[in-house]
Amino acid sequence: MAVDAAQLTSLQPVPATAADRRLPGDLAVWVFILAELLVFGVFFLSYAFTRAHHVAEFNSEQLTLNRAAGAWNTVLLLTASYCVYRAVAAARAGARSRIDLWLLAALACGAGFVVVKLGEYAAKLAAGISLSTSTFYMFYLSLTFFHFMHVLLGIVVLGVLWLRARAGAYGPANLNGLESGASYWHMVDLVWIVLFPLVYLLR
Amino acid sequence: MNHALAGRRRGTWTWLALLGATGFAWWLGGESVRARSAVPLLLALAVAKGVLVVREFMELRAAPARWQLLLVGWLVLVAALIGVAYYSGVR
Repeated sequence: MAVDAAQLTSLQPVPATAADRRLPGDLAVWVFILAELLVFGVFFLSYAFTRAHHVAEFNSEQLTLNRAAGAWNTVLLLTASYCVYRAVAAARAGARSRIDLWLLAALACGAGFVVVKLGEYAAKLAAGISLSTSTFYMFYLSLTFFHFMHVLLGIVVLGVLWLRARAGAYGPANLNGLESGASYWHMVDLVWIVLFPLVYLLR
Repeated sequence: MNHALAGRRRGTWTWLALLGATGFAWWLGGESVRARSAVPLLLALAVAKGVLVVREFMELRAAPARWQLLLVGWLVLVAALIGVAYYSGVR
């Protein structure tokens, strides 16, 4: 019967009653996620409303960004999120050997994001661009770097999850740590989903 | 019915939809599209992608409703205010 219960929870179907609904992972992580979203939200809106006073400057300098790099980084973060989702699904289904493989794939995508982003920073640095170049570049550099730091922390979290998964820590009865780390990673992805069009595309 | 398999398929379709939306947004943000008319579409795409991540990857569709409301509310509010800021910048 225990196996049946594990299979039934593996899809997390929308529960019949409100009492069956549960938040994945630790409540503390979700409070942290809300706080992070609030900070990013304020940052995004300061960009948008500052831009309203410097429309021409923002529009012309935005065209100097590497949109393809931004799009590839979106693909990498979304794919990492998908891999993390699959790792949680594998743990829930009791497929222990696949948990660490999916986490490793997520780590590879996260590392890919870092490489692409560092390449963008290097190109801007080589072009003599810094925080004091313009209002647009002040926002571009500080916003994307603030997010970049979250990606780095997310990679550390995924690395810890990977090590623990290899040690057999996760299964249908022990999901809390994995779900908590997964939720943090999805938040990093969610923030980029707004950041990418805002800074790279909207003119 | 195998719930685990259905869950994986659902996740895979979510991922493919997110990639498709990203490709479309990238095209919309290109220089060939009139930028101003792309603004509402790009914001709507960002909200749609965010809702997919919140409901499917974060699995909040199976969580107490207030959590989904908080995160989707954040997305809609931020996107709407960005829209307001963009149109207030139009001269």
